[in-house]
Amino acid sequence: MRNHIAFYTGGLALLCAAVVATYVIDNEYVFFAGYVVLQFVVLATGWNVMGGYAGYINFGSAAFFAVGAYTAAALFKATELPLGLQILAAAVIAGALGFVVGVLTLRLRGIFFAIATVAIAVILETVVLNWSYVGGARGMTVLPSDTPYGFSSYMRWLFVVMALLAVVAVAVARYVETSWIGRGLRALRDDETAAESLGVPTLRLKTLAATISGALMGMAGAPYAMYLSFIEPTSVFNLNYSVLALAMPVIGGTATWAGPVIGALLLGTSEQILTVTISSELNVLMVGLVLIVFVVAAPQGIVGLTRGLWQRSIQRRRAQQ
Amino acid sequence: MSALLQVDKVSKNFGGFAALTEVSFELAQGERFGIIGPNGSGKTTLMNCIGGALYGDGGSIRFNGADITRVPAWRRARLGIARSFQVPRPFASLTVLDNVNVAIEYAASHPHRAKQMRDLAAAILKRMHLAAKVGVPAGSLTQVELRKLELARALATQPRVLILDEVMAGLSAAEVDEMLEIIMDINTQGVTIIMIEHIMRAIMRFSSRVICLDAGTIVAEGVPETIVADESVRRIYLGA
Repeated sequence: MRNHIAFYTGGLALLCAAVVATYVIDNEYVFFAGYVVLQFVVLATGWNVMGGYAGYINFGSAAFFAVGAYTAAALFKATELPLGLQILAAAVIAGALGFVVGVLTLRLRGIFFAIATVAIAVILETVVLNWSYVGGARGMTVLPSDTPYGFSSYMRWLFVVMALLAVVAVAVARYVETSWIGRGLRALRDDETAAESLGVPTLRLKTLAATISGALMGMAGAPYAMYLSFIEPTSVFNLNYSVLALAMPVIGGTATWAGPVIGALLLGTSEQILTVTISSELNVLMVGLVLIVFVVAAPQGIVGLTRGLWQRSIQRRRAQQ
Repeated sequence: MSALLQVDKVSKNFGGFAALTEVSFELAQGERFGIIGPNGSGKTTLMNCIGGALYGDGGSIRFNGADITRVPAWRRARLGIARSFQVPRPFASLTVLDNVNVAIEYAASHPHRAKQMRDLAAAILKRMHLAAKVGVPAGSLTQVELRKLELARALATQPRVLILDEVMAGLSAAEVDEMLEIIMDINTQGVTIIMIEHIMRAIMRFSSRVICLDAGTIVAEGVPETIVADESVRRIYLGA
């Protein structure tokens, strides 16, 4: 109980801090970059529900991100729907895609599942490339509606929205992790046959996890068109989203909700710094190298690494006494 | 009174290989049922068909009056059919306690309160002499401990029928006795038990009725004494 209170107070405090920041910080670029980092918190957290807890590696996260972005953009073009409803609709459609991916796990495991998710991304990109309503390959310009009252720029408003989405995503992931759902997912990740024999409805749980995961990743992409005032297929279906959605949880640690958050904050921030100071190609190279190092040397990620060091230091202290 | 479990002409083929051919038997509530037979005779396949890990190609299975032939394994677990696996299949990254908690949480027909769950898990782990290992990841247990965990998890589903697939393999004589005592105790509380075992001493002492499988068919059935004396069983086991 005390844990819950601490968690939700923390989340609320972070949100307040985000709002306050929009008043005290003058530099617009901070919000432009901060939005991307927070967007990765949502994306990585969403990925981890399926990839970390259930152990099904989704290699097509870009598809979910893009489906979220295009759902929101298409709806905005059609009806000028307010941002909140756009995000909700994006979550529903991307969640439905997640449901389909969840059903795939009935037949596909391991590497075959991963390949299938890549295929889904390729198929959807082709569909969007040929969808003239949203501009096909040329893309589409989206002019955001008026900045809501109390915010000095639309960018600042989007920053706060993304901060809210990040808190919501982490709260959802944390609920999944600590509830009966998480225990069932971890059980089936270790051994599906054994889990099934003990009453765990594995297909239902996997489908549930994939739906939640898809909805969160779709949410991450939903404000994208508003953020850039423009959307086109190759940038939202970019392989980098798929790689980063996987790399961030793996580097941070897939076992807990804190892992993807730490990974996203670290990689997201370093991406912003490297892209500005040196080049965006160097950033991709760095992500690749760090990912390899972690997969080989610290598969439990930063969370597992620090936890291990901490326990060892406790043992050492006990031994000395 | 009808039987608790009715296996009626169950067959299972793997490609061209007939693993089970029209196997039939009935179990009454509270029985201690032993299954023997050489390696590859279809014992584990039969258990997979009863537990739901495999569906038979023919025949039917009824449990407590209801047809469960096409019911998925997780539902059978909730109905009260639990099993241990021949090769232990622990949730390696979960603690011993969480291994048991998963079973309690998911197999229960009604939701448990947190306190009830804790008490039940503690009682089961104590009974299986795993109380000292509660917080340890299951992946770091020894073979003997893993077998106890298999049984603990199966028990945690609070079954009506408990299938034990060679739970005593690799145990010392003293451990076999201890395990037998635990299983007898479970049986006296009303749980029907199906035991597959190669340790003859254990299965003959334990069972009230035994069947012998060979090449996917039942070749002998009866009380332990008649099974031991049976011509075909002797031929299968001793070769002559």
